[in-house]
Amino acid sequence: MIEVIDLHKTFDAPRWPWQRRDRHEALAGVSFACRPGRIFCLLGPNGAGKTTTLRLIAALLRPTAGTVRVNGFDVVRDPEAVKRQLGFLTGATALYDRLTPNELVRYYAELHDVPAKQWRRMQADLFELLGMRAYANRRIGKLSTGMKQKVSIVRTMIHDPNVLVFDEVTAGLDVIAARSIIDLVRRCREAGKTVIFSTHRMDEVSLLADDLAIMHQGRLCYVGSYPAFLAQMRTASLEDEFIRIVEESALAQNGQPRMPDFKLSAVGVR
Amino acid sequence: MSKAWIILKKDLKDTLRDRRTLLMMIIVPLVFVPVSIGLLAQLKAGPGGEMPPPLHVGLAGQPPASFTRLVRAQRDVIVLHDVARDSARTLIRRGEIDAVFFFRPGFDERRASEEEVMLFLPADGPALGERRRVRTLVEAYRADLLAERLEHLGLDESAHPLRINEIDVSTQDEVLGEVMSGFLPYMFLLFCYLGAMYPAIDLAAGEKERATLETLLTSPATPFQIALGKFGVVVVTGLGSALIAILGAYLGLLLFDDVPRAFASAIQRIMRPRALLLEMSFLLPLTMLFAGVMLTLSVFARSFKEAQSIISPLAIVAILPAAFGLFPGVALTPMTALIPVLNVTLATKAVIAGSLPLFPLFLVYASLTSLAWLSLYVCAQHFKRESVLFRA
Repeated sequence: MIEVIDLHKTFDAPRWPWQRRDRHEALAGVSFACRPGRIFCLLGPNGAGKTTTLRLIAALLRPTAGTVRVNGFDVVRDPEAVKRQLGFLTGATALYDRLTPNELVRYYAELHDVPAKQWRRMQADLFELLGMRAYANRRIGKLSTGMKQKVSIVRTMIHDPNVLVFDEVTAGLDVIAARSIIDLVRRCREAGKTVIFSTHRMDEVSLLADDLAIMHQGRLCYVGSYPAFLAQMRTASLEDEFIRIVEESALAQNGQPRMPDFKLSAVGVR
Repeated sequence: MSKAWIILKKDLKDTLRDRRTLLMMIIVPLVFVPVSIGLLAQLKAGPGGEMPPPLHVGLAGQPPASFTRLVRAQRDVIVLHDVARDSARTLIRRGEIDAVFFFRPGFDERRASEEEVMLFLPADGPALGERRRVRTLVEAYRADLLAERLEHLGLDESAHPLRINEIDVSTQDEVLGEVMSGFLPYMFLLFCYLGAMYPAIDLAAGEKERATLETLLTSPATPFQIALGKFGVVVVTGLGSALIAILGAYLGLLLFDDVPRAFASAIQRIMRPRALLLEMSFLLPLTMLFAGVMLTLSVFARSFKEAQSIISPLAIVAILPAAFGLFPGVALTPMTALIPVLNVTLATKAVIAGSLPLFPLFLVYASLTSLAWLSLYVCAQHFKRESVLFRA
């Protein structure tokens, strides 16, 4: 379970002493909840604040105001406990090219204090599932992009987290590799895990979403269940609807009247 | 198992698989140091072997027969007669002649009186040895003239109130060896810095750029544990590189025969287990200081390139104090013991000389250790700052 309540984040970027300081409000009062056994899709254009939200959930950043809880653990008060509950996967494979998949998986298993017997079994299952056995002892730098993303998946899953955060994980992947990730995300839902999946691809939303949030310029334009979203749609396609909502949100934030027929419903937030 | 230890083990493995690190940490000191020693040995031998090159002396005007005789009697002196006074400067500047003696016409007849000899000597250039030999020649002739003039005045040798008999007991080998021994600590420090530099850039700025640092931060390892693990790797590579430079010096000794005796003995002294341990005990906190500063700058930088452009020129600032240790008369005192880098150079020189003063030694450890821990603290604080970690 992920609870995000009135979340604010302002960046105060450090500069060299001779440079002017740069303040930027990335999130302004974001609230939603992701429940176990459901996939929560976070949709938004570039710069909407999706990655910042996910980094706050993963306790990589500290909120300026508001609360984030993962399985009841507060990200500010107990970040280590949050990280134990959570697997974080991004589109950037972010791997060590000079290590082998075996070495990398072992490294993360040890960091998560997973007993050797347990991670070896988990590693064997995941390698088998993703067709990676033949590549287990090759240097990661020599693997294809798709295979690298699979290594990232194993790295994310090795401690069997019950909350999974996916940040534009299919970016740059071919259709087959992207589909294997979509399948994995679905399997996580079937296993009763809490999944938050950020994307800007409508086809992925239609394939995965149980709940949906649309973000624009650090604010939520829509939060609700995906079937409810489909029922309220005023345009023919998901893509058109997304563009309409984002444009209306931009107008509203610039002092224009706010869109009248979408209600912000905080899903499961107390 | 401590998470810092897990990170250290993995980062060390990763670093040691990197060709650039291996080149900088192992290959360069293992090749550069022996080659430098070989070149210095060549310098000692000189282009013509052990013998100094002949001295070219020009005679202008009307030189007295006594002086011509004296010059001819010298070993390795080539005399050029009838040099025109006007061309003396040009010939010296061109390097064709080391010095020109000009005698006014009729000097021989008036030599017992107040007459002076004009001597043209190059005021610059590297020919310090040649200058010394010319001066020796002049001193010899001056002594002859003085004796003649004293005799002319009816005085004897007792007119000299004081006779200075300067005896240089050091041989050329000893002088060169002493100078070269000063370079030893300088070399160790240089490789300490160079060995630590690349891993520090790669493990912080490089990881930040490749987003592996972000992935690592999603693990339950705290920012302090991450900083500590990476700090450990930078210290190991820096110290390892310095140790390899010491081994390189020993290798140079084995490979080249003409190494000056004093230098060879300095290398042998530093290779003794006690001296080696002492040397490592100086270099350890200094490498920690380097590691802390480099990692702090590296994690602050936006990219690998930015970190490289900050840390590479810093080498000059970091190593500069070591150069002061090469100056004659600079010794390990309570004051110099407090200056980082310089204190390690001077302490190393003291180890080579076999005379380590205890109180300054204590100050060396105290200043280096406190600076090392301070740098680790600052570094760890930077690893905690999200504005630094996610600086784009």
